[in-house]
Amino acid sequence: MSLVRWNPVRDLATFPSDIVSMQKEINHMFDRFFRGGTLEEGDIMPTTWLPAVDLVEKDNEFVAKVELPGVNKDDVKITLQENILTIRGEKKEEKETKESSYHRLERSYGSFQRSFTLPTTVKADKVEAQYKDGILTINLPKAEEAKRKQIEVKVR
Amino acid sequence: MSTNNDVTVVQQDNTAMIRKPDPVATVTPLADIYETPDAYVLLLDMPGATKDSISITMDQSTLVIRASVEGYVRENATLLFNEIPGVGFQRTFNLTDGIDRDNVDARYENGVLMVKLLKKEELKPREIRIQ
Repeated sequence: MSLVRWNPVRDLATFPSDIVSMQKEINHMFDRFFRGGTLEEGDIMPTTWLPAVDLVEKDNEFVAKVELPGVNKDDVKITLQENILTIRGEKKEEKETKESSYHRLERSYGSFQRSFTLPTTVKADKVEAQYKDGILTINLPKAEEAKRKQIEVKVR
Repeated sequence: MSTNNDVTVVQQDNTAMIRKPDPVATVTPLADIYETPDAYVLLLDMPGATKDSISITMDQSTLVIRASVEGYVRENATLLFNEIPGVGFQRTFNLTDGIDRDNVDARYENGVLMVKLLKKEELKPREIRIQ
């Protein structure tokens, strides 16, 4: 038996075509994933970054804090639909002149959107939000029936 | 020390400065750096940092930016989401020689610190006329 030199290129040429097409499919899947999903009809806008959020439940209210550095507060929209709190907006680039070149670009620009389902109902008309030092704080007071009540149970 | 804007810039020329480990936990703020014909501009995301806590120090070769965040009250509360680190910020940048150390501009607005480092004359682009 004679030794035959292994030719990786020849092996590749005889590779089953369905595996190649599967690889294409996987590449396509990764592409879609990192581009933030395909844009379906009816979608508002593609989300390009997700701001960090803290959501705290207190006895009488929920407090949401959203990191939005460099976002103009007029570009933020907060909506509450039943128990779903949605924060969406856009961060615009604030470069000074057109005659400039980037050395580093780590911060995110573009539109964002995040939604949360609150565990209980809140008083929609009493929701307050304020923006300070790049942090958006939203206070959502709980509805009366959702507040924790202490019930004494008699043991017979 | 120059206070040409609302953030104080402290200059240090003590090159033998010993860097002690910071006792407070910090995160590295994300930064954009761009260059214009007459300056380098740094933009740093530091959400939650209070303006008075921001310190910008320069020595021969580095620029150090530090800031702390207001204490986050967590008493009597359940955390449903916790993505904000809630600690201070610190980041060090290396500087090139051609920066005018006496002319640093810094501004803090909406959680973003902007530091403008003006170039010395020799670094600025120059037009050369053909005789």
